[in-house]
Amino acid sequence: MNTHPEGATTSRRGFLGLVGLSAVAVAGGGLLGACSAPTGTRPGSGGATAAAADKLTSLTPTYTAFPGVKPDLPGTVSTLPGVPDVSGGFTRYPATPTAALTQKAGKGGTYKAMTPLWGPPPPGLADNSYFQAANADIGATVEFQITDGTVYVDKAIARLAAGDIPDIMVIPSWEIDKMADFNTAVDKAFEDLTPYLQGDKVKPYPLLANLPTAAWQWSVWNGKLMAVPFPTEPYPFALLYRKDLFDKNGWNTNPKTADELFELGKEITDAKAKRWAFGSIHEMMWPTFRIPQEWRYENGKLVHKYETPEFELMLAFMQKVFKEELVHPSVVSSKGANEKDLMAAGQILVYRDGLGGWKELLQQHRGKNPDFAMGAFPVFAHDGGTPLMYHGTAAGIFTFVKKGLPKEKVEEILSILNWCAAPFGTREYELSNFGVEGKHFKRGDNGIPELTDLGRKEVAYTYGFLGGRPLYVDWPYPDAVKLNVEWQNASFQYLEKGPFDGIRVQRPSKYSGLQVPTEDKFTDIMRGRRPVSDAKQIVSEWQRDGGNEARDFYMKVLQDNGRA
Amino acid sequence: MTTLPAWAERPSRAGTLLKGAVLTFIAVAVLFPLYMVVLTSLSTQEAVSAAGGLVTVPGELSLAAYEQLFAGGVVTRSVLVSLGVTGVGTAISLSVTVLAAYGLSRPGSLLHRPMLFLILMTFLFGPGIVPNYLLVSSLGLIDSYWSLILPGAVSAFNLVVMRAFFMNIPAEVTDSARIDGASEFRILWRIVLPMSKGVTAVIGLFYAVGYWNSFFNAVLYLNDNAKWPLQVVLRQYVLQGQALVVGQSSEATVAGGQALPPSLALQMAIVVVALLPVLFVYPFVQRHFTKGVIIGAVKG
Repeated sequence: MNTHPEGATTSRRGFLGLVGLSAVAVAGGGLLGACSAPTGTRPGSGGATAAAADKLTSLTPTYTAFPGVKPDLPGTVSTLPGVPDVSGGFTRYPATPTAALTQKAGKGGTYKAMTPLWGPPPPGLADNSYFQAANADIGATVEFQITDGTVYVDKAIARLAAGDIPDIMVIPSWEIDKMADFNTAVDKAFEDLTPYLQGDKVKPYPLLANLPTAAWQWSVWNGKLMAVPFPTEPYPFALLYRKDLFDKNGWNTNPKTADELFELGKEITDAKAKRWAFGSIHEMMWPTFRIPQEWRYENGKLVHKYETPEFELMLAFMQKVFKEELVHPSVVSSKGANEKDLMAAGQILVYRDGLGGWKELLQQHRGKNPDFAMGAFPVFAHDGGTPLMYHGTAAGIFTFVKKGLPKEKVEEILSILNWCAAPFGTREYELSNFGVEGKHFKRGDNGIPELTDLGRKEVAYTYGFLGGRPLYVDWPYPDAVKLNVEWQNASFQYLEKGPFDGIRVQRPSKYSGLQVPTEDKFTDIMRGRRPVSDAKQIVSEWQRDGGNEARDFYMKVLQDNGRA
Repeated sequence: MTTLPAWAERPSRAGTLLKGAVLTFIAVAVLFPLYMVVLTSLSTQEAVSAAGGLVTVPGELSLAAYEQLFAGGVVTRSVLVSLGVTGVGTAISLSVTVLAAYGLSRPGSLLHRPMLFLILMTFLFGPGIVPNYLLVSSLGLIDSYWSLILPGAVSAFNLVVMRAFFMNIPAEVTDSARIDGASEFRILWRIVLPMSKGVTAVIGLFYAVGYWNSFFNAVLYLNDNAKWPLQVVLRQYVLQGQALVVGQSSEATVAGGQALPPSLALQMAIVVVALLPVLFVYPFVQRHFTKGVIIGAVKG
C-alpha cells in the first residue's frame, strides 16, 4: 500500500465555509489492531454540499464569554481560520477570586479519569487531601489514573484496543496523530457529545461555552463533536533571550535582519568567558527567512518548505553561524544539551523555545536571582521586510467520555468538566491549581498563591487537563506577563496564512517518517559538513522517497476542499 | 612481591607500567561518569549552574535533592513496592525456571521437545503490546501487582541457559542417586541444585534486576498510581517539564502546569537511588559469574 492517494481517503467536514477535513492515511497500516476498520470512504465524505457544511458549522457550541473575569492586558481576537485568539494576560492575582459556579457540579457519582502527567506523581486519592478537597467542591468523586506523559500513547492504544476505557479519558493531539485508526476507534470508544453540547445545548455548561470556537472545531471527528478541547496559544516558539544580561550590557534586543542577528551574535559571543550567543535557533530562522510552515501554494502548485529558495538562504545563514562558532559547543556536539540550564548559567544568551519555556526558566531562577529576566525578540524577516510567523493548532489535548454511559452520567461528567474549565481568577481555578488556602498554598507577595510543602507533595496538574480553559498568560511575574502579551499581540499580524488553515489533515505516515532523516541531512549542511549546494540533491532525494507522493496527497486535499 | 612460578619470566618494568596505565584508564573511564553523577546529586543548584551541567569539581554540597525525593512519601512507598515485587517475582521466576529447566533437561520427559519448541518460539516472536494487554486484562490482573510478575515470569533465555547447564551434569551422578531410590524431585533438590549454585545465582540476579527495573509493564497495567514501583515514580521526576522535548509548542504550554522543572541534582539523585541496590548486590553474585563460566571448562 504505497500509492497515494489511493491509500488515503479524504473527507469533508465543513466549518464556516472553510471546510474542515480529516485526511486519513491508511498506508501506514493499522496501529489499533483490534479496532482496525476497512479503508475507504468514511461517512460524510465525498460530494459534500453546502448543506453538509451548514450542518457541521452548527456542531460547535455557541461561544458565550464568561463575564466573571477579564484580563487586564487585552489579547487579540483571531479572525484567521483555525487560529486561536491571543487571550490576554493578568498582571495581578485577584484578591478574592469569584465563584464561577453557583451550584455543585456533581451529583455524587464516581468516575475514573485517565490523564497524562509530566512530573512527580501525587499520592493516591485515599492519601491526598488535595484530591479530596477538589472532589468535595465538585460534589463527585474523580479518581485519577495518572500515566507517564511520554509513554502515554502506548497505554492509550492498549486500553482503546482492549475496550478497557475509563469514564473520562484525556488524549493529547500529538498522541492521536500516532494512532493510525483513531477515526474508527473514536466512534467505538467514546460518547458522541454533539447532542449535549451542540449550539445552544452547551448552555448548562457556561465555562465550556467560554472555550474558543477555533479549539472546539478541532474536537470534531467523523462529523460529530467528540471531545472537550484544551485550547493552545497560537505560537509554536519564539527567540528568547536573557533580558537581564542584554539590558546590563546594552546589547541590541531588536535585531531587524538576519545580518543584524549575526552581528549581534559575534558581538556577544566570548568563548573565553564561556559565553555563546546562541543555543539551537534554526527552527526560528525558518519563519525569519519566510520559509512556509509546511507547504506554499503558488501558481496552482504546492511547494514544500524544503524546496523553496528561502530554505537554501536559511541553510547558508546557519552555516555561517556555526562556522563563526556562535552556537554553544554543547549544543553543537550533542542533542541532549539542556539549553535551559545553559541559559540559566548565562552560557547561552539566545535560544528558540515555546513561550512556556520562558515561564519555566523564571520559575526556576527568579527565586534565587530576582534580576533574572527573559524576553522575546520581536519577529523580523531576514531581509528587513515584512516578518512571517508560524501558528500552531487551536487545541492540544482532548477529553473524551466513555461510550455507552447513561445520559445522566454523561451530563454529570460534562458538568465536572465544566468545573474543571473554570478560568484564571475564579475560586474553582484556584482550588484545582493550588488546592486549599492555608493548607496547600498561602498567599505570597502580591497575593499570588505559593504552594506549601503539603501542596508541593499533593497538588498535581490533573483537573486542569480535563476541562481546558482560555489560555491567559497568568504567570506570577507581572513584568514577564506584560512582555509576553505585548509580543503575542505584536506578532499576531504576521501569522502565516497557509493553504491548509482550518483544514485538519492527518499527515501520511510515510511523509512524516521522511522528516527526521531529511532534516539530519540539512543539519550536515548547517554544521558545514556538506556544502549548501548539496541542498538540491537532498531535496530530490526527499521528493523521490515520498515527498512527491505527499504533494499529490496534499494537492488532493486542497482540491477536495475547493481550494485548488 | 609475590613469588612467581618457575616457568614465568619477571615482567618488565615497562610492561607493568603499561598494564597499569591501561587498567587505570579503563577504571577511570568507568568510574568517572559515576563519580560525576554522585557528585552532581550532592551539589546545590548554584554549583550545578556554575558548572553548566554535570559537576566535576566539588563545590557546595547538599543533601537537598535526596530530601526532596523522599519528602513526598510516594518514593518511599514505591521502594517498598519494588522490593516486594522483586522479592516475590524472583522467587516465583526462579522456582518455575528451575523446575522447567530440569524437566526439559531430562531426555525422557513427557512432551519435552514440543514444549521446548514452544518456549524457543518466544525468542522469535513477541506478541506485542495490545495482545499482551488483552491477555492481562482478561486474566483480571489489571491494577494488580501480579501483572508485573506473571506475564514475564519465565524468560526463555534464562530457561535455555539453565537447561543447558543441567544437561552438562553427568548422567552418572543422577543415575547413582536414582539407584539409591531418590525421587526426581529429591535428585533436583539434593543433587542438581547444589551443583548449580553458580548458575542459579546468576539467573536469580538476572530476574531480580529485571523486576527491579520493571517499568513498562507497570505503566501499562497499573492504573492506580499508588501502586507504582520505583522506576515509574522516579521517571516521573525526571520527566518534569520535559513535555517540551516531545515536539511542538502546544505541549510545552499545556504541560507547563504548576510543576517546577527538576534540578539536575534531583535527576542525578534519582539515578543513584535506582542504581544503588543493583550496585550493592552485584559484587556478591559476581563471583558466581566466573564460577558459572569455568564449570565444565576442563571436563570436556
